[in-house]
Amino acid sequence: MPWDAQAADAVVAKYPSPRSAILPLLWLGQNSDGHVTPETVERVADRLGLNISDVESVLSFYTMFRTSPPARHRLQICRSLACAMKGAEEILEHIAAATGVAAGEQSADGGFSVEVVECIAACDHAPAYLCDERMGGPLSPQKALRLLRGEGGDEQ
Amino acid sequence: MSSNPPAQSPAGARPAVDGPRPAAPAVSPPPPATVTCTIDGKPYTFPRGTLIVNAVRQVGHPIPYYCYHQKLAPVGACRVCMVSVLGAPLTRPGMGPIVTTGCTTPVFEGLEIETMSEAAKLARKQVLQFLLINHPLDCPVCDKGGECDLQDFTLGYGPGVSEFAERKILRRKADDLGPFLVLDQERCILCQRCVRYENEVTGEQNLVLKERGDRTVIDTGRGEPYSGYFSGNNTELCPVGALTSRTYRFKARPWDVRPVATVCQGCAVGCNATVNLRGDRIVRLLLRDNPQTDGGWLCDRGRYGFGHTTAPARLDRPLIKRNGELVAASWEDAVSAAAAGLRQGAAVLGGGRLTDEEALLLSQLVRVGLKTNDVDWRVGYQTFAAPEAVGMQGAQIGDIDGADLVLLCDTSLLEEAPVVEIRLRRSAGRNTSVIDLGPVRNFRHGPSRRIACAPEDLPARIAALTPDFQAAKSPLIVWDGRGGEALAEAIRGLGARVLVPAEFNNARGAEIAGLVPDALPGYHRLDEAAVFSKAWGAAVPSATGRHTQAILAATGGDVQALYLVGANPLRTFPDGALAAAALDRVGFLVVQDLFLTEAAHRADVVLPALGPLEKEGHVTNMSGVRQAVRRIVSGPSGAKADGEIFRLLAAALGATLADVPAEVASEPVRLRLPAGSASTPPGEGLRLIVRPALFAGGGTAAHDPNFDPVRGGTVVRLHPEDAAELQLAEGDAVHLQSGGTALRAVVSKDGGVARGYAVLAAHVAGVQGLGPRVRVAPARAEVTVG
Repeated sequence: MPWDAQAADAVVAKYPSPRSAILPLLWLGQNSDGHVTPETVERVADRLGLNISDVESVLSFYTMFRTSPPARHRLQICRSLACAMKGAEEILEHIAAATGVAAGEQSADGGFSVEVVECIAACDHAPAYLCDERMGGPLSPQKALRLLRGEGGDEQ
Repeated sequence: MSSNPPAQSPAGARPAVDGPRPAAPAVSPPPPATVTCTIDGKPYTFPRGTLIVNAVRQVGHPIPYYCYHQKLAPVGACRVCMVSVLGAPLTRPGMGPIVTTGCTTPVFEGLEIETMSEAAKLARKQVLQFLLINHPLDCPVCDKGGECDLQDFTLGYGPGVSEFAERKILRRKADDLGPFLVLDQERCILCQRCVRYENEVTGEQNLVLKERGDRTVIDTGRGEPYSGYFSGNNTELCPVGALTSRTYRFKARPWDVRPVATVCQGCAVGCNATVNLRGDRIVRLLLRDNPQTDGGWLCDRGRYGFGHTTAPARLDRPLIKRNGELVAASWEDAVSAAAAGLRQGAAVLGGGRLTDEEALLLSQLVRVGLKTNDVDWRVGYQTFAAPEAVGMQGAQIGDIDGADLVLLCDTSLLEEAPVVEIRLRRSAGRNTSVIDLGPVRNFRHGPSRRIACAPEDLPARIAALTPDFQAAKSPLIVWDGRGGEALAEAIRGLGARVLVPAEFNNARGAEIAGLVPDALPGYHRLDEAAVFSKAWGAAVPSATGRHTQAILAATGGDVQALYLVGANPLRTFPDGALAAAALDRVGFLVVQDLFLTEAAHRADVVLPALGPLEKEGHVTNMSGVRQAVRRIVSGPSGAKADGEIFRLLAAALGATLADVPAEVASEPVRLRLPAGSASTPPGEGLRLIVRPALFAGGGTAAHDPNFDPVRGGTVVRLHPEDAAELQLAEGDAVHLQSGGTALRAVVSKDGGVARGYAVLAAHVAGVQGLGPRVRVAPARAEVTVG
């Protein structure tokens, strides 16, 4: 999809300083292209009068942004302190054993990807996860496999 | 407070004064300018707003810190400057002391600071242990070893042993970060001094934090090379060995080097620096802050421009032309050959790179040895050096700080006086309006007003700014003296102080020494010649001499011989065709230089001179500030200091050079300026203009191996729409054609160039030979057969 300049203007107008619009504009790009393309970064920088480096810096901080075409389902598992203590590593090992896909990898058919992320601020649901754009937890090995098959349970 | 022991009086802090407090007035008064607090039990008074870290430092107590830096705003990122504090509002009544960062907390009345409490010591120890979790501890091969804050503070405050047994995260090492820097991401402790320096100081914004958590690294946005003019300062801001200079890698340890104070002679700002010598070789230059000139920073041209001292291409013996070939000769033969050739009808060009003392000797040599006033230091675009010499009021570099309006008159501080651009950017960020005038954008940080116009329209545009200047309290004009009397008159009309970046580092020293055809030393009129004759003990001619243009035009006529002193008009003089014809025509040519320049190749005698770091004397900067320079390295053994060469030549000509002329009381003369640039008639192609570029130029930079990484091909800057019309893309090779001359160049699209112009860098071989208009055509791929 082409860059929607009107939608971008509407986003920028919501914020008192242009810099604040980096995240929503990156979302705009990701939602239309499936991932944040280099062109999106250039457009965001240009639209907000920022340096490309500035936008790259923000983009790389947030694991919620993809910079390559996504798998159908993307499971991000938190491995920060609370989630690690509640068994995040074991879940990752279970997924790897069951599917052959290790953290940071994508399944051969492009069906799913598994990633570890730093704290997603859901320690009360440890081990917490993000599946596509939905946050959840606590995650179990069985539930992880269901999520990867696209049978995302709505139960907490 | 009254029960405290007598207050200490550290530098910068006033002792506490005991006494009754004044009664509270009805209206709340402004808070007192000072506050009194205790540090390790003793009371001290500080200006309000002083940060704890500075308060502690000022009273002489040690305190470690990485992210904080006096030249940057505090950020509180590294957490190592921990101190215990007690006092509301930081702590509630009844509560004990807490540990906090000293770099983000200002002192306040009644605050009690403990720098060596057990809690503070533990906090620092833990932070240091954390900073070392992934640090490679490769100190034995790290350039920073011996002057590293991470080493020093870990030894002083850290744990001796790490509790972490996990594998360290590996990152990029010895990462080539562009022309001058090498990055080691593993050594980085993420203090962000470099990122903040680029945001706050230079605005160049190459380095950013990427990723997060323990994967966070410093990097350029997309891994592209660092591009900017001030990258080297990062190596001194970096508290660890993450950002290092390519030229200093594995060259020395801090205990190997001998520091010597110097003044950079790369341009006319006169930045102060400290040279580090290992043995008799310069290994690096460091900052030596001078608020009057550099403001605490160096540009990369200055910091890394020492490679010419050992460049293989340096001339190390005199040369005499025999049968069309330059062959090595003794100094005796070369000097007598030069003197014989210069004895009749000689003129002298150059001198803008001499010391003040040498310029004065040359001025005498010209008058009493060569018996002429045909001398001119202005061998390029600059028409004068001192504003006072052309009826303007001069400004100091520091005046930019307080100016409310700055006009950049077709002059780029970045290219011509780099660190001054930092100063202007800082002022523009406060309340200085910047008007950027001319065919090429001069100020990259967003001027208040950009007025694009042709060079010949500058006077009219300037006159139109009169209301702005009348409304301004403290206006300032930056003009590099390109143009002529019409522009000068318009600038005088604004009545503001003028700052003049110079084309040659000691242009001002040359001018005041009388290396001009219409004034004697000290801007004295030529009709004072009798006074100088008496002081110098020989007749001084009183007839007005010729300026560069006229001298070049008269070669082959009554200018029979030419003496070029550190000058290469083939690269610098705007009318390249005239310069080339003049050097072809002249009967006898003497060139005194560091390198075998294009002009030296045509010379009858070449005299090898010592360079700026190789001789003693003084230099005068663009604002008239006179600073001493020292002989730091010896230079090629067969070269001589310019001053010594002048004395040898004078002796061979039968003249003796006095040391300094007597003071002469007279009104200084006003120098004549050329009429000014005529407009370029419309015609085919783009209008060619030539503008200074920091690294493109001749002089020592052209032969300095340290600048090899920034020495690309000739670049032609075009407006993106002009490039599009010509179907040219960024980086395309083109031929620039004008008349019968052509030059190969590479296209750079630049929105700062006005439409209809092609911009080339000054002082580059081949550029001065092109006419006022050029046709830009794609260069055919060159096919090599065989």
